[in-house]
Amino acid sequence: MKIFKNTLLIASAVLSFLVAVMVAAVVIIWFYPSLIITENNIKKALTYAPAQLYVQWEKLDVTFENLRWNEKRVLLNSADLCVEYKPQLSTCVPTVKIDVSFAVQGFKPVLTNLGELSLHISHLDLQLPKKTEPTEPTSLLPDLRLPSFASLFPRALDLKKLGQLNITLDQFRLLSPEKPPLQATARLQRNNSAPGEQVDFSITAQASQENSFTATLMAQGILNPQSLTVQGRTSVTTSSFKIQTPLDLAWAEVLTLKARPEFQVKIEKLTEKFRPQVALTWSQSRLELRAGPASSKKIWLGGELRLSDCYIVSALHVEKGFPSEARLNCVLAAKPRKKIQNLHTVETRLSADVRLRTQGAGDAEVLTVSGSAGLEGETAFLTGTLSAQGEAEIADLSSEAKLAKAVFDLTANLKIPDFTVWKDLFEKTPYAIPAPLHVLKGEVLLQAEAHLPDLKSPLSATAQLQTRLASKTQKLWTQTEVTVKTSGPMPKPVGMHVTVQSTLEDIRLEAPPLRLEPPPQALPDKRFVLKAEPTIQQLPAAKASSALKDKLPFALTWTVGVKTAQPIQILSSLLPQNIPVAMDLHIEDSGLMKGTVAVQSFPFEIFRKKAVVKNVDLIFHANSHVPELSGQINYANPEVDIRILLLGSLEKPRIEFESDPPLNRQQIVSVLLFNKSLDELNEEEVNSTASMSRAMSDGAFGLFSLLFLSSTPIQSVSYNPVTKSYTARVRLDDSTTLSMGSDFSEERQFTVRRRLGGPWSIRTELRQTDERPDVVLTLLEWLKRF
Amino acid sequence: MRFFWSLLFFSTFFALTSQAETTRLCGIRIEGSEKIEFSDTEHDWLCGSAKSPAWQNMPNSQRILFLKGFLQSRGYHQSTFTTTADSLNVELGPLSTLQSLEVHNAPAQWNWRKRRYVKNRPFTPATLDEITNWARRRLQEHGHPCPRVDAQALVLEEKFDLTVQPGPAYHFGAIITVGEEDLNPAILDRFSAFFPGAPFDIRLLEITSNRVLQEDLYLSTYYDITCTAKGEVEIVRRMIPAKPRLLTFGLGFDSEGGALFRSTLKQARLNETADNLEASLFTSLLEQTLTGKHRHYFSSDLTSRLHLLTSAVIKRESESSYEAMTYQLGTSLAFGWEALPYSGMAQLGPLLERTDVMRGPEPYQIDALRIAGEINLTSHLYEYFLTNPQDGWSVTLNASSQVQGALSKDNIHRVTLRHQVIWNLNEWDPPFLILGWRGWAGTFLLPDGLHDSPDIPVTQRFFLGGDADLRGFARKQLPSSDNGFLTVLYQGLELRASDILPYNLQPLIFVDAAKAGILAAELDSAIYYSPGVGLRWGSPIGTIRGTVGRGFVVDRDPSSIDPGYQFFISFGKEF
Repeated sequence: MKIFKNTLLIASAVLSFLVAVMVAAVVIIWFYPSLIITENNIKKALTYAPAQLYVQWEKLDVTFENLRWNEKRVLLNSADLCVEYKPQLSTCVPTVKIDVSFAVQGFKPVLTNLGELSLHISHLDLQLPKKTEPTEPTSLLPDLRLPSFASLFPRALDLKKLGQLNITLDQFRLLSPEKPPLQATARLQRNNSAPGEQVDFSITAQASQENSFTATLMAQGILNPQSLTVQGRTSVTTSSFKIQTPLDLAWAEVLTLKARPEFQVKIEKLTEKFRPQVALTWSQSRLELRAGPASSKKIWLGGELRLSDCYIVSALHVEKGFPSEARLNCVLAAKPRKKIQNLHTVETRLSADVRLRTQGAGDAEVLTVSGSAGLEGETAFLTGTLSAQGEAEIADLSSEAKLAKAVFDLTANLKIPDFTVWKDLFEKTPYAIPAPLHVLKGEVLLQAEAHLPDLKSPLSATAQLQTRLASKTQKLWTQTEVTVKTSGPMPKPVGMHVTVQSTLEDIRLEAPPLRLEPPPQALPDKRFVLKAEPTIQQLPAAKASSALKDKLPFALTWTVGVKTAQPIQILSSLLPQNIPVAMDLHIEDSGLMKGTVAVQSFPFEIFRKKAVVKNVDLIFHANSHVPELSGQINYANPEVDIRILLLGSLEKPRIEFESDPPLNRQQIVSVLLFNKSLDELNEEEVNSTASMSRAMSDGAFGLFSLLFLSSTPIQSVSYNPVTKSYTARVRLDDSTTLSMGSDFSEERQFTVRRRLGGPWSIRTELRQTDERPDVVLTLLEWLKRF
Repeated sequence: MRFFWSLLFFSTFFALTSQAETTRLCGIRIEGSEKIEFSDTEHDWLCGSAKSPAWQNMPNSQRILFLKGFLQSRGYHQSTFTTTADSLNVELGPLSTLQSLEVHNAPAQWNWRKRRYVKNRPFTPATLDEITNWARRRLQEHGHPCPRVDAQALVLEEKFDLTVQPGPAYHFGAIITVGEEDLNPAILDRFSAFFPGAPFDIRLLEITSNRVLQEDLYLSTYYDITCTAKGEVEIVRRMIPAKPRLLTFGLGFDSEGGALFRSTLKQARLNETADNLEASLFTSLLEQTLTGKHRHYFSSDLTSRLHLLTSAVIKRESESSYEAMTYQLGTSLAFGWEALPYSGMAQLGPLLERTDVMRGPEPYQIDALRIAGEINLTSHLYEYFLTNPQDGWSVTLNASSQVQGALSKDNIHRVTLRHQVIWNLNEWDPPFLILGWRGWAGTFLLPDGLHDSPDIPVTQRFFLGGDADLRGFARKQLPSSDNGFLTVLYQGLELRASDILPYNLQPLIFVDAAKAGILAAELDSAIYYSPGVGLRWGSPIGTIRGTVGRGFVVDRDPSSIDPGYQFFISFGKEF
């Protein structure tokens, strides 16, 4: 027992001693921290730090001051302090001055004063780790509620205790394995150094990310526990736009932001500037954005486009913060540069309402979206309404959003009351209405509907486009119906089929003016390119057509049908009568076309003789890219009925002849050209007949040139089979002849007898005699056959 | 001061020559290095036409599209267009000129790199069409009747890029004949330059057509080549028959014979085998010949060229060394055949001849009965380029024999060999340098111990000099005596530049050389040669050639001639 007591006494004494020593140590350390916390001791302590941590400094000076028994002031001065914690952190701070006071209250340190905080950071590099899967799923619906500033302001921060504040960051880099580094510089400075309820500060910052954006901010603000106000300028530049704006932000209960951003937008070669006024109001329950007006005179060369009175107002869900109701309203106005009829300014209003509702929570949360949109305008160039209504349910918002239900209806009724207004509006633009359509007047109607009853049903849409256009000599009446149907469940259909059926009800068009000379090159020759492109043979057959298909997530098929209700009438200055053309074509997405383009019967003059074009058909076969040619021209005189057959293909037309009574080809051609039988022709006429016949066989006469020549009285035709070129001499009147053809060069052709005209020719022969060497001899020859 | 004025002059000169030209029409202003002249139709399309109200007041976007086509046809591919309120402004941009040509997938036998006239041609669709047609034509000449040529013009590189698909190589097969069949079509095969199984060459079809025309059986004969989608080839022959009788009058000229005149009366289609009868009169200052010929095709095979040729000739020659009349009557069996690169003709038969010499050496009258034979081989290319020699060859071996006792006292054999070879040096297309080599050799073969014979008339002896051989000597100037040579060896070379001068003028240089002998089968020591220069003009109506040569004689007999300069001009003659 005694031993136990003694042992207990000794233990108590030792324990008490130890406690007393510890307390004394703590007290000593508290009152004389400089005994322990010295530069050398800190260096020694750092040797036990992890290997990734590296700290060095040029100068580190820590001074302690006892303000009260429980309050201390610490003055930290360092020079060239560099800290590295690989790979996440690397920084160097050339200058650090911290003057901080703290007190121990309730065994907790409490900041009592921040007399000075001056940091000059030369560089600060942060390396972000690779993204990992979030540990907890979050809802896809954003929580946009913005609380009041006061609720976010840290209560512990007493601005009265804040003294001088000066933080300079020369270079900040945020490094991420997925993106280019984000770089920034910043400077934050307190303007009034005297402590008080509010802090005036100024901030200058710049941030940039390669190939992404560059942003700058220069502002001054006032911070107090209840509110924050900032006024300044900011700019953001990306590759496609540039915004500069003054900022006026005030955040107390509600955040209001006013700006007048100057947008610079680049679209191809066009650069346009916009300066709308923007006002944002954001609070716990509401988000409102207003913009406008903004105008541009460059986008539409016909005048000015103006966006005015545009706003989006959204009420936020009380509990979850997502926009439960949103309303959009915008007015688009067009003011033509040149007054067109009674058209001054055109206004079209777009409005939309969207409502979101959720039911359930977590994985069982379901979002229902419903809304409607409308486009209204009463203008001189476009009238009509466009309305859309729909409702959708989205389930499983926390992981992968799934569309559970959807219903959708779209209706459009648009009318162009006067086509000439559109022609005038677009005249100076690349989308101008081309001749000969640009003289047409009348109206164009478009009605469209789209309907989705539910996700299991296909989306179906129909549209009808009707044109009722005409001018003094022309007419364009058409009716086109478009049907779109998807296959497979929405929203990921497996296919979409588009059917277009166009009926050309009544069309009369003027062909371009032509003369009795070779027509000019109407369109740029596609063989001429700036630099090398793969030739048709180098491209896989279906590559071009499948390119579009590859971009779509579903299989797209389409068919287009064009049919004439009555033949199209083509008016030409070369022919006294119209050319009637009927059409029945069917084109599918494979690119192949089948059907017929048929020139129908009309009177015709061939080589100044009255004939009848019975038909000229271009037949497109589904298995061929080259249309087949089939046509017949009938000519009759008292002795013979002649049928000129157009055969072959459009690439290589062939002309054959038939007659009653039967004559051979050359005899038929001689009757056509000269109205004589072959026996009655003189030498020149015979050769012209032969040349014409051969040229037709070789396809040297295209249909177009045949049309030319057939309306003229042919005097003679010569043909060079090597170059497939011809020269035709036509008699305009008794004294005037005109030479025309496909090749006017003086190239000498290979032939032993070359016609000069009339009975004259040049004959070349090899003269061989026993006595003399062989001699090639050419004679100018007159000849007559009988 | 002088420097100042020079500087002022040159700067003004350059300013004027490089001044931009402005073309203005209906609100379009075109600035460029030249003024653009639009055709009437182009003007209508740009500015509208009162006759076509729907084509007036076209929008600028459409006028720009038309202008691109019009300017492209003139070689401007990089024009820029700007519009103002008042006008459409066009900067023409650089005028593109073709700098290079590339052909892909060409068959090995066609060396397209030999194409000339590529650089600095107008970079226009018309030039591209021409080059494309040229490529297609060349492929047809190298065995591919149905080629496909896809062309692309690269503006920045100023290059034409052609990709060819020659198609399968074709060999001639059956030919379908369409046309008036008053004659058996097999007769036309008589003139074919090709035969079944021969590799296709479109020129052979044209040679065949021309041979038929030469026979005056038809007015027109041509071949249609049809290429079907399945890759099959069909060749169809089409014809326009000619009237059976032909009367011609022809006129030529050369400085040797002066004006040349020929008249021909020909009766073709004497019967179903197309026998023909021809009478012709040829006259010049030096020669007048009346000829009658009858060709009789007796073979049951109508395609055969085997025929009997009967001819009668009355000729008067008036040369500087002699004047003579010759009367000939002969008949020979003639045969022709076709091989891959050439055609051949052979004939053999008796010839009865009388020669009366009015002026010149003895004998003054000679009657002879000879067996005359000839073989000729002529390449197809020689025949094809007859009117514009640039390739090919022709060889003729001629022999005639008089037998002792048959109107002759001695056995006298006369042999001549003639040749002409033309090369397109380096095979440029079109040719750049054309080298011609011609020559002939002739001699008499007499019985042992004889070097001459009095039975050889002067008209049969050999003379040198003139446009046909030694161009530095006058016509038949050699030998200096009037007896002529009994042995001759002549060779001539001519180098002609195709188109280094404008207006189709072609300069040429030549050298002719010969050795000859007054005795049979013996050549004398003298060498005759004549270098010279000349000019050939391929005029629209025929070839005109002029040459100047200087004759030289080496190791000559002191009594022989003194050569000098000779000038020849001819119409229609070729090397």
